[in-house]
Amino acid sequence: MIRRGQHPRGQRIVACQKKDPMIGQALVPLLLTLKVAGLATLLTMVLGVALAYGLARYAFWGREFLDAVCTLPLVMPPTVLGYYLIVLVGRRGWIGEWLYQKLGISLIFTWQGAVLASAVVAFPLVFKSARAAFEGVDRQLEGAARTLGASEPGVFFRVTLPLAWRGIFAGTMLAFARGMGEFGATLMVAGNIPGRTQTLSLAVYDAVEAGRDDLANFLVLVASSVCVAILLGSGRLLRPRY
Amino acid sequence: MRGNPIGIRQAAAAAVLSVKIRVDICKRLASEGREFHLQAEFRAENERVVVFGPSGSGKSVTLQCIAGLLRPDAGRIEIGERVLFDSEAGINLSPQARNVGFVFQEYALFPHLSVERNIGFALQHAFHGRLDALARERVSAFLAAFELEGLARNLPRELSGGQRQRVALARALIRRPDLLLLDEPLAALDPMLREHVRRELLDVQSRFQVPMIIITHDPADAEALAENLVVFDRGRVTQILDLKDDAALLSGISQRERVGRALAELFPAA
Repeated sequence: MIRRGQHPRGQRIVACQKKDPMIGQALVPLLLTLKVAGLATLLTMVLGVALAYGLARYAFWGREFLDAVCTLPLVMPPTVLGYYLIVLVGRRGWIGEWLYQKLGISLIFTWQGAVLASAVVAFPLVFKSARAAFEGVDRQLEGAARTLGASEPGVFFRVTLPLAWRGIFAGTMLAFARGMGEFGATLMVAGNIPGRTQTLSLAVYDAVEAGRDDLANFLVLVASSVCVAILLGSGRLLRPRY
Repeated sequence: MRGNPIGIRQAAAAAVLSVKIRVDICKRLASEGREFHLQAEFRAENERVVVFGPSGSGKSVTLQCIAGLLRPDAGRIEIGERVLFDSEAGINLSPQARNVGFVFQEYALFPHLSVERNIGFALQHAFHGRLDALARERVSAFLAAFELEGLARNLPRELSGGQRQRVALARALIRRPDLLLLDEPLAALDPMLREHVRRELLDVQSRFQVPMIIITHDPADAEALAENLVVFDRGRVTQILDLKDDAALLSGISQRERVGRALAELFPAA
């Protein structure tokens, strides 16, 4: 059984040994998963859209290299990514040491760590579609807005973003779905602590390992329904308008 | 035109508005191994300047430099008393500050905004894009003036070519620009419609009293519209004609004929 991290009280709590009804056992990881995936998506959306806009609109040295680095999480094994994150934000990591000493924050084995892992894994999905969407916006429309007196933020929020929105939104939905299913990097960074960092996909793994097929079935059903609902919902919103 | 809508000046019978335009710029453009060198210099003092020349002769680049959408490498652009660009003095007004209207070749209407919102774009709140009561009144006056009342809520893709052009004109004029630039305003239209739209442009000008620079590669447009004719060829201005001087008026030859003759001299093959 995969176990990283300990419950704060020291004892290992294995979900399948509890006598709770199945719904309760599914609800905790489901809510945690939605929280983690939601926050991770928000984070990737803001950063991904900003970076994609920069790369789509400004030519600078090393632009395509930066693009490649940002796309890397799409092709790298999640465990490798998780390892990189531990190296970076672990207590003795480059950023992690500073965070811990200055602010007393440690991301390892926390749900915030899971958000970070999901965000990194899902980032290329938002970034790539946002860049393509921005590059698809006719520059002449931005020029037209400028000659009509719109300020630079006005051009972005009234012309560029609304026209690129469909592509960005599609990427964001994929990122959310990817975040929901995140397993490898989350396990490395946040561990698999029931009730604290055990997301749906980790709970499914545990249930199968423990031979609890009924719980596994139920969890799988919940995860699948949520994903189908997201895709259907985004499909409705993405219907072409112009 | 109905009533006296706000901001639309009544056609003044005599007062002809003309603005001195001085352009002297150079710009080097390189794309995919090909290099283009523009060296444009002209002055004009009439209501309608037609910039004429074959495609790829630098007309459009010049217009974009005047609007501030492209930055010339060096030179000076002046409209009336205002200096829009001067490389030596380090002046380069943003397109927002130039108050120069631009009608793009394919009109560049915002595809996600209704006709009403396209026309009102320059008056809308900078961030959320709403119109206040005064602006709304002005937009409806413009919708009426350009015969677009029934189409206020339509999207640009639902309009015909001629309607799109009227939206583009209304959108640019609602800001009361000091100068209106039109990049091939007739090229996207069907030939049957062109004669009609030429007259419409003259009509719009007399109503709004705005000087225009019009790009075209169609001699018929130049004949119908030019007061000043600036001829471009391979990135240079090869000829500037003033078709409104006294000699021309006294000689009794129509403007149309004069432009026709001048063009025949310049391009004997055509």
